[in-house]
Amino acid sequence: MSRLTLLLLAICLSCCGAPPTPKTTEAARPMRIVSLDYCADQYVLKFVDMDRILAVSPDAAEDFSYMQEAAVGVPTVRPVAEDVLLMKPDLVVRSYGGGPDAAKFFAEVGVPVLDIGWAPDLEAVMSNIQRVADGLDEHERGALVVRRMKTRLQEIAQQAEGKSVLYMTPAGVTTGPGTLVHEIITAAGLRNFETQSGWRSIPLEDLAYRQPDLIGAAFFETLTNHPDAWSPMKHPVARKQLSDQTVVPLKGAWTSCNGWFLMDAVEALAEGAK
Amino acid sequence: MTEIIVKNLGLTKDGATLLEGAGFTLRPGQLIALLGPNGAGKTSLIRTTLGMEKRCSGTVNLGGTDSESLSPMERARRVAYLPQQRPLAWPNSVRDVVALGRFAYGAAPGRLNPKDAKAVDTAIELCDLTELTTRHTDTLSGGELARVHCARAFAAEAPLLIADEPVAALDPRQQFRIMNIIQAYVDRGGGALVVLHDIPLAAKYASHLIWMQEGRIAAEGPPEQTLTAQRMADIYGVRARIDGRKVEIEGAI
Amino acid sequence: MTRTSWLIPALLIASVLAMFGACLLGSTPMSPARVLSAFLGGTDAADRLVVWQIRLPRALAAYLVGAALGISGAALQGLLRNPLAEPGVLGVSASASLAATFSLYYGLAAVSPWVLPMAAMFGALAATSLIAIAAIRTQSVVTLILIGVGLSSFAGAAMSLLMNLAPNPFSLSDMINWMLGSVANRSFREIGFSVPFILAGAAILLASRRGLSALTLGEEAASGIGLDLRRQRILTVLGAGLATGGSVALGGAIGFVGIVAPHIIRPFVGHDAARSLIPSAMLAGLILVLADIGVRILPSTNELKLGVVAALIGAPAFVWIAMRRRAIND
Repeated sequence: MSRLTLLLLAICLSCCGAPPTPKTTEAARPMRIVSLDYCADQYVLKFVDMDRILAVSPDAAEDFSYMQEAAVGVPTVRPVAEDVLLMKPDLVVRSYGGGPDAAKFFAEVGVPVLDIGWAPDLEAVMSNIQRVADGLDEHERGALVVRRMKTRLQEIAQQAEGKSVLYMTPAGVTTGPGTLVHEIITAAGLRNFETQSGWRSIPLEDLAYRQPDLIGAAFFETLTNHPDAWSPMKHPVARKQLSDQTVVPLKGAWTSCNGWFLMDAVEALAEGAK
Repeated sequence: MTEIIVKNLGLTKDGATLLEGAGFTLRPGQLIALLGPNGAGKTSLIRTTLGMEKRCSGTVNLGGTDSESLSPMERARRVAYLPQQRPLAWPNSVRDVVALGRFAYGAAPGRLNPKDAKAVDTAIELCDLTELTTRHTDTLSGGELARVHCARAFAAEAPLLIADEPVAALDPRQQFRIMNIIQAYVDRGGGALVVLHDIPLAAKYASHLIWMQEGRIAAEGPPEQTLTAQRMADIYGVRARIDGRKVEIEGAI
Repeated sequence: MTRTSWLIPALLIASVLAMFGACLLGSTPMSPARVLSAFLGGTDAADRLVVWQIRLPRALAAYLVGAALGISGAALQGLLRNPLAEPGVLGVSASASLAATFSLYYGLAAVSPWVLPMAAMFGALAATSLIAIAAIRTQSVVTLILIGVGLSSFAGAAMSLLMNLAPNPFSLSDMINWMLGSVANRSFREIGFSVPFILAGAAILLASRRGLSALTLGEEAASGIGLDLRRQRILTVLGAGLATGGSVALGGAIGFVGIVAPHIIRPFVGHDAARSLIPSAMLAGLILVLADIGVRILPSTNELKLGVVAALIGAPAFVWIAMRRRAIND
């Protein structure tokens, strides 16, 4: 499986519910921040100045990282407890890094943990952004990002045309209601071609009866030639029915974590529908 | 006339000399018994004669052709072979096993043309298997199985027969039945070479005896000439009393 | 024999019915009448597309994979004189899978669509040749099966290693499909590239089947009645390798169905290996189509792999046959 697909699934499976924000005392602004995984990296690199970042995860500088340019020159640490503790951080930011027991472990040792958390829809994404920005003691920056998102979403909603889009990965996987990708599609003013909830193979038989107006092709730029021998995408019916459709490429970086970068996906889809 | 002429046959394997200077002739009308102690080279002689083992020296003329240049099918049409080991991998019906004797003529157990079918029926009759044609081979006794193998050999209607211990592990009655069948085959015009351990049986039926010892042919000729107490002592190391064709083995020397 | 004269027509009818039944299953609920009309040239183009291009190829692929394994199993059992011989057990399917995945994940298959089935065929031939050579040196079928187990394990391990080192990334589900078998999403395109190998292998096996009957007498006597042993071994190995390679290229490695089908058929054909070839192929194809129906009917979140269902049926049969034989041989 591509690493990004794995990440995306990990996020869907990660702990639910709004995690507690560590209290920052008036004087104690976190100055030694460590982020444990790729998703946390994005938030830390976006909101925090270089002098307060102790280390980010090794994935921050990879091609699929949204904040890749900002990560250049930033020291990295693998999300292994010993390595992280040796650096003596005063705040650890994570979404899935370090394993499910990480929060408990760091709490025992007395290091505050800021959890990115899971978001079922765009509203929750925006409130997450604000909450994390607050936890990093950068309230204004967070508010600015959220404001921009809200404005852009409203503009797009007005232009909604109700076309249908089929989201798919090179392995022929698509998703229906109940996932963040579905919310992205709805926010772009489009209808999801896949009506069954959850992650599944693209509906080969459905394609014989009706075709989507648009195709949202995700993660295609990271895998040049995915040779899945049993992929429904290789089936002649899929090829024939989808060949005439407009394809909107969706960068893996946009949809693999919940964050403000989801807006790029929403905008690309809305643009493609015109 | 199909006959086997073996001259000066030699076989060496892994440094051991299995055959040396062996020679004999088999013609239709002869029932030759090949005798000798275990390890004398009887099976090697047979296999090398048939071309199944590559000889090191000598010549074998099988019906006018060198045996090693015959294809398996051509060889099968000239000589029917009953080997020492006679496994039956599957519980086929008796008729199907006998039908395999027609393999060299392009027949298969389920596909017999009238000529093949007739040969199979004749062979079954000759070996007293008419009651057993639909029985499966895993339900037969040792004697019945021996007759099935004989029938298979006769179904080929080859002018010559070579049988390696066809009566091993059979009770006396079955032994005589098999030898009677082979005798009848020779009387009809066939030529048979039979390896036997039972000297009295060999003496009773054979027109010729070939005595082997340590890879060489020690003696050959009609029983009247070659069957002597001295020979029994030399070849088998046993004391025997000979009276014409009657043999009584008294004990080891 | 009256027993055999109705066997093949009965299997043919059952196979057609099973394939029709398989075409009734899919993500779009379609009544049998609708499916039938789509087969007979009904007016709904989408229905016809679904039935002819999606459902029928899948059913046909299952049948072809099964038939190839059935005829190879029957032939190998005839050659080795043992009812436990079969491409899956002897490591032939696993070797074919290994060669196929190697060609796929190291970019060789991109050169031409023929490369994949040919690679599978070479993998299968390498294994069948190895087994045939080993069979000359040892009379014990237990040894052969152990060699097969070793081959399967080696092929599986090598596959994991190669896929981890591959320059082209892979999906875990893809590897599972290769190792456990699947006919999902098969189209006439994949069938078209595999069928020549399956048919060529079957043709060679059928052309040389007379010799398999002769082998019931043992190699010595078979040679005595006119069988060219070397030629028989080469042709049977070649045919089984081609057919198995083609089936693996189409549906991954599926085992045990090549044991079950010949075993059921043999009593009906007088235990004659030659006459068991075609009925075994048909029965094995039928079994696999039914297994593929089962794969889709059984309620589970992820679709079960075809090879898993085949093993659930076939492995207990394998054990049972092995135990019965020991009882006889004792």
